[in-house]
Formats: sequence, C-alpha cells, structure tokens
Amino acid sequence: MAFSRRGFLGAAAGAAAGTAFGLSRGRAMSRLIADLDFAVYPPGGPETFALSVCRECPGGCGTRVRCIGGRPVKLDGNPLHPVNAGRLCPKGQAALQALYHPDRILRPLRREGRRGDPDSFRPADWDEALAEIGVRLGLLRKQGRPEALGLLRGPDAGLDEALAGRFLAAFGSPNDLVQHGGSEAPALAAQASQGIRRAPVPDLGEADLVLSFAGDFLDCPDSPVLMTRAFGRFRRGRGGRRGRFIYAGSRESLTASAADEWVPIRPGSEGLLALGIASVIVAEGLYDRAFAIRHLAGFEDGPDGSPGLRRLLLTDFGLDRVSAATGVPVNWILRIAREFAAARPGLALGPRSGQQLAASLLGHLGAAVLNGLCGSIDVAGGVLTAGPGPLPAWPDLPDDPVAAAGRGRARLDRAAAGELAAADPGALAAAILAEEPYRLEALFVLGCDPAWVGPAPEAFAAAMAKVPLVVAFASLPDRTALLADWILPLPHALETWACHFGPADAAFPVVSLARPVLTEPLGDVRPAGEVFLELARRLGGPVAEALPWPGMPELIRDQIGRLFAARRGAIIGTAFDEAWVRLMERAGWWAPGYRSEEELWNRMLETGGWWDPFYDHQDWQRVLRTESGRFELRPDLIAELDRQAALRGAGRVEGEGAAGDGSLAVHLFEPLALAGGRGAHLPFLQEILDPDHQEKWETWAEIHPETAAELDIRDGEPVEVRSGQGSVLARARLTERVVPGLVALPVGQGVPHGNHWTPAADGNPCALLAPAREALTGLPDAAATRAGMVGRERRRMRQEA
Amino acid sequence: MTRWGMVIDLDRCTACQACVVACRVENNAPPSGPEFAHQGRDISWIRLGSIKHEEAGNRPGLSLAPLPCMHCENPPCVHVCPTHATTIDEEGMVAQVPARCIGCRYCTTACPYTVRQFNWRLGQWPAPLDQGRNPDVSIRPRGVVEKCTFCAHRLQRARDRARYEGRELEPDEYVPACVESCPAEAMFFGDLDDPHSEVARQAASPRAFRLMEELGTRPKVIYLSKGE
Repeated sequence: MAFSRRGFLGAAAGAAAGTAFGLSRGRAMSRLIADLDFAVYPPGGPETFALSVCRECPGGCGTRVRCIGGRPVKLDGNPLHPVNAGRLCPKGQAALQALYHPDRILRPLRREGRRGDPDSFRPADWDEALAEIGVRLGLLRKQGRPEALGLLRGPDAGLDEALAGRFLAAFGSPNDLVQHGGSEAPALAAQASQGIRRAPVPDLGEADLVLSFAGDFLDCPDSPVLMTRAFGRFRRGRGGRRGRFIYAGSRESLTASAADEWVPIRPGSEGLLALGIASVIVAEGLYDRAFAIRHLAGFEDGPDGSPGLRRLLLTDFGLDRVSAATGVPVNWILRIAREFAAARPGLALGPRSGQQLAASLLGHLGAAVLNGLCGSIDVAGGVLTAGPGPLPAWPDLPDDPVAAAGRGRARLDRAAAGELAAADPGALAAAILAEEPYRLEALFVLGCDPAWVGPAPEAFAAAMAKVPLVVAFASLPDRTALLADWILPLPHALETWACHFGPADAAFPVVSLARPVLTEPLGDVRPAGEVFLELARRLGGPVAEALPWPGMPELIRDQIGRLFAARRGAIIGTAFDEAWVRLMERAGWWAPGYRSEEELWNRMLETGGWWDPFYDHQDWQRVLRTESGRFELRPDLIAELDRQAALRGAGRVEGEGAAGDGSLAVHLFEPLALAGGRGAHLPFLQEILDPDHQEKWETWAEIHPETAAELDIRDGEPVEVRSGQGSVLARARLTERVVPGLVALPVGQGVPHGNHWTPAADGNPCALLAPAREALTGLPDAAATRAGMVGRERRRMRQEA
Repeated sequence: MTRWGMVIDLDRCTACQACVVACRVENNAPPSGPEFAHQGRDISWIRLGSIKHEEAGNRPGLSLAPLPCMHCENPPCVHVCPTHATTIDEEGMVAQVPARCIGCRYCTTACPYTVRQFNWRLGQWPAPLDQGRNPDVSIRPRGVVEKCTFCAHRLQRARDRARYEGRELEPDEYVPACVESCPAEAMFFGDLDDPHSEVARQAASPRAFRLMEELGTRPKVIYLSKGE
C-alpha cells in the first residue's frame, strides 16, 4: 500500500485546519486512513474457465464463467451455444449478484409465526423439512385425495421443472399449472388456427418486414438474447437486405423505440387494427392466392351459409370503423396494409407486454390472420412451429389406481375445460378460496411469484392463507415465499448440475448440460429436482417407482442416454458445424460426431450442449393439425370475440359514471430488467430500469403531457394510481411515448422485502388489475381496468387546508 | 501502430443495456442502492444517452445510444488535467490513473461527452458480494474521477498471455467487456488502422458519424446511424 501524495496533502490540510479551528486531529487522520484504500486490488488467484447455463430467465443461455481461485467473477456467453452465441443480456451479466446476494436464503426456513411476517421464519434442516412435507403428502394419498396437491411453476424449461410435473402426475394430481401469462394468448390463437397449443415462433432474423401489434419482443421475450440477436440479423446481418419494422401500440416500449415507425393506437385496439389491415389486404386482393387456395380454411363463406373471413372483414372491419376505433388515420392503414402484403415474407406479431402478463386473444388472432393471408406460415421469415422436444416422453407411469383416480378429477383452474380455456392462476386462486370443486391441501410454488406478479396477486395471496401446506422454492425472498409455510432454498445456476431445454422462442430443440462450477454451494441448498426425488422415495410405492433415480446427476445421465437413443441432432458447434448438420439432415443423413453415449456425454460437457438445427419448412402435416388440415382463419371466433368486446365496452360506459373510479386505461409492462417478475433484487438491474427516463429503484407512471395537464400533474411528482382493485404509489413521468388517456406502469417493482437495498415500497401494479375475464377464454380483460391518478403532495396539502 | 477504436451500430442496438451491466461487473463498479442512485452518483463507465436528431416521419427525434469514453485523439480531459492523472498513450487509449488524481474535476467539466464520473464514496460490497470482484481492476478510492478504460486490463492480460506463449498478440484476442456481451452484435472493437479489421471496415460505412465532431476532439468511438 503506497502512501499517496493526494492523501498526504489532504491530511496535511486537515491537520492545518485542525490546528487553526480547533478540530480534532483524529478526524483528519481517519480521513487519511480512508483514503489509503488506494489502488487496492481484490484478492487474486489462478484463473480458470468453466461452462454453465444461465437461469435468470427461461432463455437458458450457455455461459462461460471466469473464476479466480475458484470464485466466479464474471459471466460471459458460451460462443458455441446456439441460443446466445457468446452473448449475454443484462440479466445474465447481473447473475453473479444473485449468486453472492447478501439476502440469499441459504437454508430451509419454516414459518412459525403469522403468515406473511418476514420475521416469523426459523431455520430448519432438510431432514425436518422433507419429513414433515412427506408425511403430509403421504396422508393425502392414504385418504385417496391426491388431487388436493397443486403445483404452480414458472415458464422455465429445465429438468427440475419437468421432474416436478412428473412428480405431480405420479402422485395423482391434475393440478400442475404453468404460470406463463405471456404465452397463453398466442398459444390459444395457434390452437384455434393450427390445432397446436403452443405459442408460434417468429422467425425474426429472416423476415423482410415485421409488423408488431404491441408485441414487445425485445422487452420481455422468453429469451432476450435470442430475440436481440435475431433483431441484429434482421437489421444488418444479411448483406444489403435490411428488414423494416413497424410497431403499432399505445406505448413506445423499448421494442417500439427500435422500430422504424411507431404507430400510436388507442389502448386495447391492436386486434382491431390487425383486422382492419387484413380487410384492406382482402379488399385490394393483395393476399397470397396460391396459399389461400391450398392451405386456408374459413376464408370463403361456408356451405351452410356461415360467413367466411372475407365477408366478415369487408362488412365488420371496414376502414371507417377501424380508423375511428384505433385512432390511426385511414391512409396509414392503407399504406401499412400494402407494405405488409408486398413484403416477402411479412411477419405480424400479436401483443405481449410481459412473460407473466396475459394479452388478448383477438390481437393474436388478428396477427395470425395477417400471417395466414400473406402466406407467412412456416416459411423462413414467417411464423414457425417448434418441433417435438429433444427428449422422448418419460417412461409410462406405473399402474396406480389412487393416482389414476386423482388425475381423472377436474383441474382447479378452468384450463383444459374447453378448447380455448387459458391456464389461469387467478382461476386457481378463486377455486382455492371457494373450495370448489374440492379443497386444496398442499401447494408447491416453483420459479414464479404469483402473489406479486401475475393476473391476480391479491386473490392468490388470500388463497395461500387457505391452503394448509404451502411450500415455496426460492433463493431470494419474494412475496410468495414470505407467505409460505416452508421456504426451500434453491441453488444458483453455478452451484448445481444443469440440464436445460431451449426457450419457447426457439424453433430448434436445445439441451444445455453443465456440471456445477462451484462444487461447494454457498449454503445448504438443494435443487428442486432432488427434493421431488427424495419426497418420492419417502412416499414409496408407485410414486417412488415412477421416480426411481437416486439423484439429479443420475437422472441427467439417464436423460442423455435417451437423447443418444433418439438418433438426431448434433453437439453444439460453430456456424460451419451448424450448416454441415443442416445439409446432412436435409439429405436424410445423420452425422452426429459421437458414437457412444459416453462420447455424447463428454462432448456435451466440453461444449455446453446438444441441439438439432434442422428445420423442415412447410411440413404441413406437422404444423397444420386442425381437423381440416388447413390453416383455420376462424371467422366465427373473431366475430364472437369482437361482439363480446363490444358488449363489455357498452357495459363499461354505463358502469363508469356509477363507479367514478377514474378514466385512464391502464397498461402494465415488464421492463427488460424485471421481465418475468425477476430481477428486482439485483442492484445492477434496478439501476438500468428504463433507458429513457433513467429511472432507478422505484415505480414510475408514464402519462401523456396532455392527460397530465387535465389531471394537473407535473413531471416527477409523486402520484397515487388507484383502480377499483388497489392503488400504487409512483413517480409521474410526462412523456409523449404513451398515448393520451393511458397510464403505463412497470411490473416487478415495489417488492416489500430486502435487507440490503430496499426499493421504495410503492405497492404492486398487478394489484390494479380488474378481475374481469373474457368469457370465451378466461384471459384477463385488460380493458376492464380503469384507474385514476392524483398527486400525493398536493392532495395532502389540500387535505391539510 | 495499433489504434484501438470502437464502432456502435445504432441500427442494431436495441438499448438493452447489457453493455452497461457487463462493464459494471467487469470493472468493479459498486452497487449503489436507491438513495445514492437517486443522487445520480452511481458509477457506470458506459451508459445510455439520448441522441436527439431531426424529426423523421412521425417518430419523436430521439434515439438511445451507449456512451462509453470516446477515447478522443485530441482529448480535452488530458489537456486540462493538472496532475497527469489522465493521459493518452501511443495506441490512443485515454487512461485514468486514480493514484495521481486529486479530484479537481477539471476533466469532468472539460469532457463534452459527460462520460467522466466523480467517485463520491468508497464502494460497498456487502458480503459475500465482494467475492465476485475482478482482481484485475483496482477498487477506486473516494474523491477521484473515473472513466471507461476500454478494459485496458484485458489488453494487458492478452499481451501477457501472448508473451508467455512466445507469439504476437492476435487482433481478436482482446475486446472490452461491453463488446463481448452485446446481444445485438452491435458493437465492434479493434484496430482502426488495420484495413482488414472488422472495425475499420465498419468505420468506413457511409452511415458512420462521431459525436460532436465539430469540437475537433476526434473520438475513436464511431456510431453508425439508424435507418437505410
């Protein structure tokens, strides 16, 4: 440690001042010592690199970890990994803060006091936790009520999550819910048009023109790196061919600010605008006739006289109506329609403002209609359909009458009740509260925070109080964990074996494989998979038979064996390897570069994984699984949704005066840093929340200056946003990036926890959402939420006056 | 002679801020916390700035761009520094030596790009967060100015490795952390004087511009404009 000149001068000056003004010399000296922290370097050590998988979002990027003396100090992308090709998003870069977070939960916690009180937890050991949970579950099976166990899991696609699902099935419960609001509406639209209940995959990197109806694919996709890379390619990665990007929506999101053109529209009118554009394409005969004749159904009137889409669009979605309802000038609609139809291919995307925030079905059906009319189905640059997963199905469950009877019971949420019923944690909460059709006795929550981020957080929190045993897996305290009876601590991605499957945004299957980078975890933590294996062992009988693996490493090894037996794909590699595998597979060859299971295992660990880059375009039997074998345009559904929306709109106009609750439409969005309701704990993510306003650590409310003037609200003023359901404190931001009459709020902030960095306790924007649902699908009716906004300071002053 | 420079393609950039976080992790920027961040005192050697330009169509004329140190060839900060705490080396990197800095902040005033930051407090890493710090980058004391170094420690490491292996430094052996992370592949880095380098090829694009070129600072961070 060197004595610095500056430090010396500072101390000398301090000492002089001390003499002159009678201050103590001690203070000057302590300042000097503080300054001597000069040029201190963190402790060094031998440098090593290891491969791992990022688990900060469902994307599952391959990472390359730089370790100094065995301590991870930096994450970068694994250059060979097909999802991220050596790149990482801000969440991945901040993942080390999750590993070393001072608030991390490092041992099982058992609640002893009042539910929801953060101080009511006491540390327990794993044996105690597993014994108690095992006994409670065993009792349910003995009573013949296995359906009374529920599992709510996030959108992550790892082996732990898959194993949790298998545990539920083997136990005998139908209540295995995936909370992935953002993919519900696109999956239902694909169900309606293609007969496949899975969100379609936009082939962004190859598209000519992208027309997004409030689809924020750069803000909150399942894999930010995959989409951002595809966007880079779309813009500048294909020689001289630059993709054009038009965004229509009520808020200029991060995605919209990357567009060539932002078309501001009235809140909630994305579907109408898409259908209006489709109507122009039909009226002007710009659609792809060859595709329409061969592959479309529902375009012309049916033999029974039911109106086809052509008639429906021309009669009900005329330019005047659409222009009036969306606020987009007629000539813009015409221009966009002609541009879209001329692009080969054009890619239309439906609304999405979060991984957990659900969108409307009409918006996604509108986008599907545009893609169908212009022949953008299953072509490069259009909409693709992900192939079968990488692994063969699990082995059959053993014969077990208790489990079979339990699985045969109705699910507590309405999903799977009808053709188009969405999975809905709100419906689950309602069913738990009503104890209908039966009572839920135990609930596991894994990889999501439904009591904070979701369609009905308050209802879920209330429902949790009714369930006698709630077990939350968590590594940082979130609200759901704090409301649970047991918190089981999860390891960080770097502390455990990883076997992860590709994100839902990818058309190709990927299996990422990595061994733990840190052999000694920082705490007494266990992967969720190990917990379910152990519980199965404790339950014994057919449940243990269905989950026979002694531990996760053995299960992973077994899975890789099955991957070898599937005889497809290749070890991940360079762009040249990728082209070679594609070429070979197209010609009907399989040239994997490994000859034995052992070799596959070793090479996957060396490179980071396996994938199958081959995509067979226009395999109609695979991608069009409707009864007709065609792409269904579903005019019946569109007419019905439109009618219901109009009815609801009319109802609201009458009800509004009575409630007097506010006049603003509410737009919730998940900023990139907090997408999926994760990331609020990490300081580096809190400090990059919004690129334009430079917001940090707090909730803000975007509002148009005109609307703000009407409400007498100034920029930067603390405000309260209040709906019929709840209220949120926020800082008002006046911006022309939102349309008038709308308040836009980021989701994921204001979480009431954290010892080291406590963000402002602003309340939860999700709690503003009205419980109203679309009758047909059970998806939230976004337009039902209206809110008012008042300035806090001035209201206080008025009250005092 | 090598002349290190960077090209940022704003047409690819989506303002995701992966560069910002990558830089903070690599260069031991301490986490700030709400209060400090609201005072605008959090340290970030690269951040997003808004570049205002002529309004085009219906777009508000605003685009977001990552702003690292421009590593000017004629750096105003070097001219005003009374203690030679900031210098420019023969390869064009503008360095900042905390040990010589007296915190006078002439340089933060002189820098037209406002990318220099004054360090208001000693960084705090509550345990075990300190375990993740990079041993190649020093912890800066309170009261000095800091800035982007183009991750010069990475160059040093790459040079050491090349020397140890008895060979020349390869052009692609060294990139700053921000460039390595960029998911849009919008950032390029390398030797601007090597006509075969990707960065020189990109810098010759008709879309290329530099920020505030009229000041004569001759920045070595070159932007490629949005649009056709």
